[in-house]
Amino acid sequence: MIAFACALLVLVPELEDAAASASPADDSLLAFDLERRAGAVTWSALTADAGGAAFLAELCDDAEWLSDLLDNGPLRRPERVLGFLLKVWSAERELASHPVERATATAFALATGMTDRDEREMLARYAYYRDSFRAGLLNSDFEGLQTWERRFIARGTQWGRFSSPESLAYLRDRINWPRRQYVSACWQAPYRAHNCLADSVQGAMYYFPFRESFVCDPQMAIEVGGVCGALSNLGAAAAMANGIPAATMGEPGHCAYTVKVDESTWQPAYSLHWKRSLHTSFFGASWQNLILTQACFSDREGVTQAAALARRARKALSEGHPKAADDLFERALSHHPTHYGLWLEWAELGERSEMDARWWRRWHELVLDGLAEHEAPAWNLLRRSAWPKLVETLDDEERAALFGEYVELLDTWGAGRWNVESAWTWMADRITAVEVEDRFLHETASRLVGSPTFGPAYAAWLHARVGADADRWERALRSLLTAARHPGEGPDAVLRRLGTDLLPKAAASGDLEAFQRVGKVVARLHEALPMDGVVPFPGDLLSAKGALSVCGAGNRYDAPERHWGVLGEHGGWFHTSTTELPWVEIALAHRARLTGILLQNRTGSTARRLDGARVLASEDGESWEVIATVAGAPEVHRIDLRAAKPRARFLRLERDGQCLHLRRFLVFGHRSG
Amino acid sequence: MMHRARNLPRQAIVSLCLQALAATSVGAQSLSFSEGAKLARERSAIHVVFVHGSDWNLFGEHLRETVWESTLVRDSTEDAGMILSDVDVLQNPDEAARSANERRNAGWKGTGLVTYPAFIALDAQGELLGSRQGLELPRDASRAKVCVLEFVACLRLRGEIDVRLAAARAEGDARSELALLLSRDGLPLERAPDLLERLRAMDTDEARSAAARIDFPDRFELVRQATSKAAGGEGAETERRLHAMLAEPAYTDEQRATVWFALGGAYRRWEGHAERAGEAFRAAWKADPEGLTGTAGRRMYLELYAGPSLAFGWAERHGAGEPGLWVIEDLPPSLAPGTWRLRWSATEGDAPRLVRARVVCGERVIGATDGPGGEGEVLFVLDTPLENGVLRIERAARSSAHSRGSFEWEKVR
Repeated sequence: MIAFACALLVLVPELEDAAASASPADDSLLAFDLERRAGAVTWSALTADAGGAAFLAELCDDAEWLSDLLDNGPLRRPERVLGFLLKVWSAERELASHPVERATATAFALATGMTDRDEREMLARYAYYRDSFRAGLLNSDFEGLQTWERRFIARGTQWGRFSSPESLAYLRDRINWPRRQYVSACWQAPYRAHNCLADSVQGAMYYFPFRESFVCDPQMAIEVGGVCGALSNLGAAAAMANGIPAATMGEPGHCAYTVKVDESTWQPAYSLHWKRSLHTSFFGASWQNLILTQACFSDREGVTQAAALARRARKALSEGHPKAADDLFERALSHHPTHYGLWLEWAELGERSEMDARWWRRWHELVLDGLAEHEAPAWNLLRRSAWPKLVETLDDEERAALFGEYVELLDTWGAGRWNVESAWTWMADRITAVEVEDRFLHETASRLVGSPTFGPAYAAWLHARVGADADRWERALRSLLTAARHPGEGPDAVLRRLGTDLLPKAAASGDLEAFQRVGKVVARLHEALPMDGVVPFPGDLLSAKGALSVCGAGNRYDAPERHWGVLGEHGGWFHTSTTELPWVEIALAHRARLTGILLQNRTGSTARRLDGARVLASEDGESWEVIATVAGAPEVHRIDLRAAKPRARFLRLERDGQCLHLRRFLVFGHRSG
Repeated sequence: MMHRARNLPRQAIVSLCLQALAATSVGAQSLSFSEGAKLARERSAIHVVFVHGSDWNLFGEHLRETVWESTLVRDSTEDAGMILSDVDVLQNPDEAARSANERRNAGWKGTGLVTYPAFIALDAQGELLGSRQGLELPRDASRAKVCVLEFVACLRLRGEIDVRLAAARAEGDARSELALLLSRDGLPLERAPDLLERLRAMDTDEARSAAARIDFPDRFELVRQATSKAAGGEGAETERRLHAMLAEPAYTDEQRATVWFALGGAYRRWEGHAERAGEAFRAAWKADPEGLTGTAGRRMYLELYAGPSLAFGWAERHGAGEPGLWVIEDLPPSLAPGTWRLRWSATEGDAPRLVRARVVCGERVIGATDGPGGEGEVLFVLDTPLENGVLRIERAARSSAHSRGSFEWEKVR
């Protein structure tokens, strides 16, 4: 069929031009698009019933409602979506004339298509929002939400019982706060790994005794406790219950959530890691995709125009005009390039039409242009669609050049840290000749090593990639140094420079993984310090997985390449600059209950500078509490915190007007979620 | 001091409030928090604060109009000499509104606030007296108004009790003082911080009993400590301590159930005491069947220690494949006359084959007849009500050793 259509195109190109430039009333295409997406079976089943036919007639006659349904993210399982809407419409014939209820019902219908949650429960949850809105019990911002935003509320939490109608009603009345404050709603439940009977939260007995005693699960979590799963579901459900978009999300070994705290900002809550996987998403569960979704759908004019062009493209395609469809998709995405769903749809057209390498090359360039500020989704699109087609046709040098165009895109993290290492690995794996790969690595280093965000991550990745091969690693180091404009130094000097340049950057950007990986590579420059007199406190050596930031890092007395060692058994060195309030900070990998801190001082007369230094702890890096003050200047200063067990994610050492320098700053304790 | 304020001519109070209102620059309808707190200190008066969010909390604004500013609420609070102020917590203020609002809310530390909107009463020193908010505040304006009026009445009553308490104390009338202390404590307000101290100072059995009840520890904390100590090798000491608590006659049923539950937790983590754990959880259930720890005790007992139950069916440990007797203890406490049906079905393996089933209550025994559903169903006919019965089921051997299943118990006629 496609081949036939292409042949036809060759014969009658003017037909294509006509299709591409034709501008039929967009409204008429809305109904066409709905019927096309629903499919013949669903459409027939609906129209066979008198109520269904009347519902579809009203829906198809209402361009605004149709656009609401079709232009607010993916429409999956249309039979469930339309079936849900039909049920609501049958019970509320005036639905279309109440914009908030209509948008809410539409969002719930779309969400019903995305989940396996029972339709009756979805209807009951919709009724909760309808009734709560009418009674004026929701946050006033609910009224102005777009349909795509309502979908996050409609989807509910990962744990369905936390967003049942009973739970929502309870949370609406129990935690009714200004919008921004929902990021701390999780702390309404106490963090308890074991219940009062010492049963672990991982087992079935944790909540079992208390199941009949509370009106809903959120109340049980607030009274009995829980860990990250219960707390994050509670926090997200509290926001949703009040009509504020939120979503739970998974992180490695952890559950967190996010709240849309204003019209444009999704704020992570109880989040410990950048690797986030959202439980509600439109086109991919990553955090970067959420930010792209926000950028796309918040621009209503852009979405509407792009969607209208896309509908014309689908129409053209259905009429056998792929060239016209291709042009229309390009126009749609040129107009509104943040529409990830349309990129996918356009790529599908390219695949179905078996477009040639030139076409994919063009597609690749448009993705790079259009998604320049969204490098992670851009990477996913290119890897999934364009590059598999292009790589087959290119030799190593050409592949390296192609990948280099993407590397040029990397500037800052944009929406936040993502697994860019997997992108570098994918690209490097596809260059077969070692010398070409090394050149690619070198050029990538030139581009990235100066970047405070990508530089440390790239150096760490590079070591993992070629570190086992001494020659290649030496060449890689030199390329890093050349890129960092310090050529001509020996291997050790290169390593030192690497640490000096990259460790402070990694710490400053909170990239603990890069700090750790670069720190370990560089640590070989110095012998480990003896552990004499260093007696650990109970628990884990938490600092050994953290990152150290130093006030005035790299000053003449400091040795940034030794910062990593300060946090662990290896030992190291730091020396702050002298300011009014010199400081060092440790970012731990997770929140913890501290059992003790050990400060290993330098020897000699300057050791006294530690006297009077304060140790502060913080859970958020913003509000700090003094937990100890150093008295005297022993070589090893022990701060026993076993009684107080303060909770912290960040530690800070500061001193008024006197510089600080230590060999070890060790923090012990137990992870607390 | 409060009665002094109440005896001030009402017009004078209104006049003072109007003066204060006129002085406010934001939200001229009400005093700001700091103005209210100052006035309350000066007059030793109760300070009632309405905490709301005018740009986001529609329900709060509805209550502001229909409750807070209603003549009825205003009159009743003013009659009682209370000072009213409001705190408006904004969601999306522009810079000018934010700084103006922050100035107006100066001094507000969120005392007593859990959720919005909230009616919070503070004493003249700013200590929390009570609040109506969240689940305690109906979502219907007319019921919310009644709730707030009741709150005001409670505060007023508390003030009056305080006056009578002072008089009873001055006269050395310990009996009246105790009665007044307990009445004040019975009001749905915050507990007075000096209550325990005052009860302990009164050397009577009634006061001692009241003090024991009031001093009862947090239930989860009691259970947690008992469990933890038993697990840490202090089982015997924990057992002694909890038994001593059980010997305290002053405790309520709910408190006794909590002690039994704690004892169950301790035995469960004390090696070799599983049987006693079951007994203790059962005792918690029987002490307060409807309460939280009583319910938790029942669930623990039935799930881990007892025979099969209507709640959780039977599990492998109940040996359904072998002949024997099952005693089901969780029949409803009261059975009305009529026909009751017991059904059972296996979710894993074979269901047991029943030889005989009876409902037993002391000397009274009601035998079963076969149900119309055939095997897996029996009927019991009760001519008169029956209290606290148990089901006794004799079963024959079945081939399936691993069997699990559930029961259904319902009145069919």
